[in-house]
Amino acid sequence: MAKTPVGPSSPNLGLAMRRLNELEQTGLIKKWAIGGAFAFMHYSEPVLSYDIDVFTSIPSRGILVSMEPVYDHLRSLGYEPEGDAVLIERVPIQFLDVAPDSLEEDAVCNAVTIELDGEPARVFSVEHAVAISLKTNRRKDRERIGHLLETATTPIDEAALNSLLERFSTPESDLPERWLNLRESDG
Amino acid sequence: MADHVTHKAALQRSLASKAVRRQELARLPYEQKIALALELRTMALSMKQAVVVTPTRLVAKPPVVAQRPSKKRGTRL
Repeated sequence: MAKTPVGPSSPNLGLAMRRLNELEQTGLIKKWAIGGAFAFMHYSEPVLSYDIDVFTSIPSRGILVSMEPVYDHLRSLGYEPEGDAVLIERVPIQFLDVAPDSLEEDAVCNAVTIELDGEPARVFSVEHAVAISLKTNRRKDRERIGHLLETATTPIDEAALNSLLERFSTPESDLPERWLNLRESDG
Repeated sequence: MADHVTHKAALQRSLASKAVRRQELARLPYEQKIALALELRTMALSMKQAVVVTPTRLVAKPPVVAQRPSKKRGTRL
């Protein structure tokens, strides 16, 4: 793998995406996709967020998942951790390991392929982004959905969303009801 | 009353222009939206750093010496 010197002072998004693709090619991470606030931004207005959530599956030998091989590899390229994230080409990336058969894994498998500064990348579908926010259901998650409903550039496929919500609903988190409540409060 | 109507109309115009602006931002290419969000992050982080928290120094008070009633020796009934 060719080592490119760590870039200039401004974030280099294309090179950051290339680094993620290289991590996947070397097997340090599996298929990955952008989720969280930055996934919402693909479909609506830009908002403040402290890092780009990259959902992936980290191969592990035992029960415990270790991020060390990924961090070691990135450190060897000159990228240091900063809080929960790693600054790759000045782009803050947070890796999030997805559980098998989870909504998040489904989101990664069905992510939309895009290009960012000429480099292939994947981003959650708008329906998966909404479903995961309804699952986590923090105040900021509900606000993100609110912003999306106000400024969406891509319409939400209600049938696809409802199907997702029903599939991944549990007695503890009634996702269809949360969606209904949110739509009602949104007016 | 006329002032109230004028203010209401101005507020409606302002909200409408804000909504238009938000729609324009939403339609930007994804790369530009990410760049804007990262700029916001940098600004937010620098604002956090700008807030200097002065630690409150706790001034130690002199120890309170309990005033015990003096025992007078040799006082016997």
